[in-house]
Amino acid sequence: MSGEPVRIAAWLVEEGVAVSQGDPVAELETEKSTIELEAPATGILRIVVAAGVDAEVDAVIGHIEDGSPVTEQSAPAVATMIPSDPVESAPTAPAPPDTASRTIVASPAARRLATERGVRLDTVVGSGPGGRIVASDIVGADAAATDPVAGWGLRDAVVAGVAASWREIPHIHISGRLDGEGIATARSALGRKITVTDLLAFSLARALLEVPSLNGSYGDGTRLSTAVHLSLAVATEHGVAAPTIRNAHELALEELAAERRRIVDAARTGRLEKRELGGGTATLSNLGAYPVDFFAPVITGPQICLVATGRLAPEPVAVDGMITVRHRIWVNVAIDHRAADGEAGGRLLTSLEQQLSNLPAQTAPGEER
Amino acid sequence: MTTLPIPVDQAVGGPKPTELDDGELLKLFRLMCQIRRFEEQVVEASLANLVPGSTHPCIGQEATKVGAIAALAPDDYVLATYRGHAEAIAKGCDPTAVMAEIMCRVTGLCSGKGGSMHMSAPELGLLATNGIVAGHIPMAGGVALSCQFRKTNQVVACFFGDGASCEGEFFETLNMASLWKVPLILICENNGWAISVSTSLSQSTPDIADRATGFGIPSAIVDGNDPLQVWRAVRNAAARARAGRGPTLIECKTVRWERHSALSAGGSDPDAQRRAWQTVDPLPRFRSALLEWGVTDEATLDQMDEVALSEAVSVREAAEAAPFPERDSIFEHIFAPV
Amino acid sequence: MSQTMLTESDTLVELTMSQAINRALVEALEGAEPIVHLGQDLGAYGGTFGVTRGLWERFGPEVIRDGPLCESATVGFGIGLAISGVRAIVEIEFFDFVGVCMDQIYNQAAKLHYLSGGRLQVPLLLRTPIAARLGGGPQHSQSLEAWFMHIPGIKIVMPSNAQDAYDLLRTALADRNPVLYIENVRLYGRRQMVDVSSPPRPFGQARTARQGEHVTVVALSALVDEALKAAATLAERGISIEVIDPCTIAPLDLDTILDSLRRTQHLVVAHDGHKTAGFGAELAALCSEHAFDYLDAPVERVAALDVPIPSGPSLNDVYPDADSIIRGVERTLGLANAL
Repeated sequence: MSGEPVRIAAWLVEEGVAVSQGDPVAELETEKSTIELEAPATGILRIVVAAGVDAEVDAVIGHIEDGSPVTEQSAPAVATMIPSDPVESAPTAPAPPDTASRTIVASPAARRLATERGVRLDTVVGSGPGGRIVASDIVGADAAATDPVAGWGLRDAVVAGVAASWREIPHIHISGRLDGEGIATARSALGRKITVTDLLAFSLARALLEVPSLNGSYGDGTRLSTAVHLSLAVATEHGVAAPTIRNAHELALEELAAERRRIVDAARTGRLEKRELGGGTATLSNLGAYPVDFFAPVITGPQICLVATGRLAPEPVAVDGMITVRHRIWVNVAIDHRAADGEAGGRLLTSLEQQLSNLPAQTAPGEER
Repeated sequence: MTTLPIPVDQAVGGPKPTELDDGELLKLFRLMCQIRRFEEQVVEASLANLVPGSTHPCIGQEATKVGAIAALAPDDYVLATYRGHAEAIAKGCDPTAVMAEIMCRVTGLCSGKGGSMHMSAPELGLLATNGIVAGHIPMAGGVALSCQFRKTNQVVACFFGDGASCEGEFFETLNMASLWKVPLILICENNGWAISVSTSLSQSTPDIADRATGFGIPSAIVDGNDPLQVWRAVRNAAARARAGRGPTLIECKTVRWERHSALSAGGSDPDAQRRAWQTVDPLPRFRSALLEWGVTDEATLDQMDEVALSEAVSVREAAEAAPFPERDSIFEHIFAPV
Repeated sequence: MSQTMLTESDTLVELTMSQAINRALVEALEGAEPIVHLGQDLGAYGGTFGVTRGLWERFGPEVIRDGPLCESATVGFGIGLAISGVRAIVEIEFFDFVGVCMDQIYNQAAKLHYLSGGRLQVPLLLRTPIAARLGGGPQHSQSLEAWFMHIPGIKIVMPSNAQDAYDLLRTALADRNPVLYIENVRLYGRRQMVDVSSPPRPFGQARTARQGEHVTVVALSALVDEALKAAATLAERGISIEVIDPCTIAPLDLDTILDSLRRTQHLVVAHDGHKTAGFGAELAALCSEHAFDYLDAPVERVAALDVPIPSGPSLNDVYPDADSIIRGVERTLGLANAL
């Protein structure tokens, strides 16, 4: 995967100074924004690439000497906008989702079946009233393999799914160029591990609560959900996967980002469980890492909508009769026209724009919600 | 019109009765003593917390029950109220079984399931005593209808109080019993009280017997504390009934003991009420009459009472020593086997 | 009296439910046991709804005994007969009138065997019809079986068809206990081929009127037919419901219902009694108690609305019917719009 070059704007720590893991050590700039690089380990900083210089992706820009074999610090993978942290990217078992704070609504029959078949209820999306998990959901979940299969055989499933969606779903596309200043502001305040995708997912999950007619699936009959389980389109070597972040509307930004990292990593390394691929109530596909402004996607059936976003870019706009520069972002809402109309798309764009403008306030450090 | 019952010191025995011989007369007295002493033990047991719930002694009203049942045949039926220990004993139930039932022991008449208010010995003709005021009156009518239908020679005596005579079921029964001329004897013990409500507050006419007239039923008013008056009235009513001429209502004027139940006063002045019933106490009154008629002497009567007392105490002790029913008995007798 | 009977064999007779009841009464009255039938309008009139037609002529006025309009004493007389050697049948003309004689039924008849320590037996049969949907208004329309289910000591029979009516009445007339036999004016004319040689049918045995996979529907009395209508309509949509007729609600054959529930995992209960504290409420509690882990949705109750029943025909939708049962099935399957 290619990405744009990264420029080292500044080293925050001098050569030879001891740093602890997690300390900010450098500022890196991309075309989109500036990020802070954290020390991946504790030790002495050795600078390889000086400030003010561009580095290719995966080039080594510095070392942390900790007495053990040198850990290489590579330029960040652009698409995710964070440094590829060797400690972090070492394979780890996915952390069990925190279920203590959320009550799972499931019928007694579903619970019994789940226990009998070893299906985890927190991985099942309910199709019953109010999102209740019912027996047929367990039967469906169980039908999927519960252990990851290397290489999946997913390619065929992806192809079949895309073809079916193309064939059966009458798509309409409702698009707008939304004000993205909120994203930019929040990002520069938060830096670190929060990506544009995280911020878009955070806002979209909340916006979908206000437009419930777009949050759900259309099979035989419409099934809407009161909870937002947001699928993310992730490009992998096997094709586009759409793993799901459950209850995205309730997650704090950091939690959401952590979950996003987990499933994206799992998707890329072929560790996603098949049931993590399903159960979404809407999908976000962000191609903003590329020079893509606008695209019309194929909806991930049986979901009702897919929200496609392009790059966040500053551009001249008219505000109060004056020319100024603001970040803007194309958002395209693809809708299954059997289930909802363009008007719903318009409302979603309105809500989303509102949510995006609230981002700086909502996500101020120390007040993350 | 004379106020009934007549006080003891004013009662005159009258000529010696010819319908009953000395032995039968003494039997009446012995039974009255037995019941009096039994009920006194019931009160003691109740005050000693040996009796669950309410219990209703008939102290002072023995003459009605004894006189009436003595006038019936052994296979005649009796239904009575919750103040029905005397009816059970007079009908021949074992007093120990009655006392044990009052104490809800497994040796009781109904295996401890019924308690003081629910006595039953169908084989002796005592079908039921009932906790719901007037609830048994239509049942008694049905039993009488059964006798008529089966063409037996039996009659049914139904005891109830002045309180019951105000319930709708009483009137409904008068109508049906009269209409079908069933062999029913309705014996109303008017003791002046329904718990705390005196008859002056509940009865629209001074005599309950008047109600029978409206349904074409002959009636009689008797001094309920004279066992022989009651005996005669019931004997006549039974003869009418056996002859197919239908029901009779007999109002027995009497005076209630100082309390409605062993524990509940149900009246304004227990002392005044005690004086009231003791003034007309049927036991000393019948005792004087027996002496006057030369049926027996004081010593015999005294001895009868002593025996009654010591027997009553033994009965109580035996009942007290009896075991309670096992817990599983709760689930028995909900239904008869199909 | 004329009857049209198609006799397919010696033992199969076409009867209306009313005729089936009449026939069972005749058989009992012809037996050796002394029986008296009390009530009003039973005799020459043949019963308000014609059920006792012909009995008075055949058995005489002492046996089929019209009497004064006093339900309380009539039931009381019935109890008196029963405890002294004569089996008693009492007709209460409309189910609504049980209130008048309530003490005699629940306090006396239901309890005499128990509080006499088993010494008294009360072979008393109370016959009474549900008079729903006749436009009789609030006091002549009620289905009050739930009241009696609450009282230990009384058996409750609710036949939905002529065969059950015949079989279960015969059983009731051999039972030595108080039995409330609940008829239904709407079903009196319902014809069926009845096997009159059928063996005795015990109480507490439910009948599966139709087998199905997706939802268990338990229905009482006239609603069994409505449930079967609903089943036919739903079958066209690929939804298969199992219809169970309890036949007697006390004793209740809970095992048959639970077996079905464990397979379908969905339960709908339909009755003409009001919804609140009705039979459905008790059944829902029983299923929750005994088969909680097999419920895929809450138990749905399809019942008369909790209002005094209005008289006018335009307001008949206070009562449930096949359509309301269909909606109940849809609700339990979550087919209605979730939000």
